[in-house]
Amino acid sequence: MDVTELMYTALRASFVYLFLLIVVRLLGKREIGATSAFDLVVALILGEVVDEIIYGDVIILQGVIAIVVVALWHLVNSWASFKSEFIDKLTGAPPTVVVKNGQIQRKNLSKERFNEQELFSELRLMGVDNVKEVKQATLEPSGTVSVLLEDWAKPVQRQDLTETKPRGQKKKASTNGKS
Amino acid sequence: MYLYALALVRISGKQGLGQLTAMDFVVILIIGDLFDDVFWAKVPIAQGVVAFAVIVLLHLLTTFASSRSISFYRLVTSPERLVIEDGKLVLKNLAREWMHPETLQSDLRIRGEEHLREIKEAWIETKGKLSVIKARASKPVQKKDKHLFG
Repeated sequence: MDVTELMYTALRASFVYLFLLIVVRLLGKREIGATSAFDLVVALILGEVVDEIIYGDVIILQGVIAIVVVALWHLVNSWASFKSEFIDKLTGAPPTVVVKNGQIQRKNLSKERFNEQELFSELRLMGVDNVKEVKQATLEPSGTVSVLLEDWAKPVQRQDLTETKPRGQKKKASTNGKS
Repeated sequence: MYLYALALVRISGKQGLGQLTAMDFVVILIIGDLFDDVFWAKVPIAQGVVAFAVIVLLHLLTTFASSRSISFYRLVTSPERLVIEDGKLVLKNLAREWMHPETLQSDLRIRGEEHLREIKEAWIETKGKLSVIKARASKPVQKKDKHLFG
């Protein structure tokens, strides 16, 4: 391994870094990273392509083309999902309601291959130990479970104290409905 | 090689994984990929070390420059955009992010937000996350609000 080869490695690495800096910038902040499983896959592909370039296993032009094409398709995909509802439905899963008005929606749960233990775990992570407090829990397209509390289970807000309605009505019902 | 990686990661800063920008993320992936070729002895260790060091160094330089110069920061990152203002969607900015209102609704639900009217401002931040500032009336009660209890 002579020094010139190491220098070329350094040069190729620098080029790859700057090139990716531009590509990532052009892709935008929601297009890459951990927003969806597929964004993650695209990021992995981009990362996987560049080591071959840096070590000189493929010529730079070939690597650049691979990166540009993958990035371009990813851009086309997100643009098309924004413009066309059909493509959006095709490429992304719609949200699934798993708890509605304190009732577990068992059919939807099994449709998402999600069991009750996992649901309770998700609720506990949100600090909820009683499913009755949940107005709606949804398995979102991003894979996260969102939890909206019933009005009476929400923390007190400023407006609850300044409104003229009888106080205590909107306050957290602390002890009733404990399982 | 593992020890070398540990040392480089250590000097490159102490931000946890929750603080990653898109570029941090890609750099981590590149570094991970540079490794396996060294493991399988496809490339000499010296070449792996150089490639590794150059990527980390350039990334350090970029982050250092963005911390010192706002205009450089603006150049290498996407700007944050206001998507809810005083309880109303800012459709223009949503369109700029190629984001459906339903996707925003989903992000709001994840944050436990049910009503737009309770939100004063929401931003898609540079790191791609949604930030939510509640309207004054919907802020949680604080100790300073003791007078409201009457």
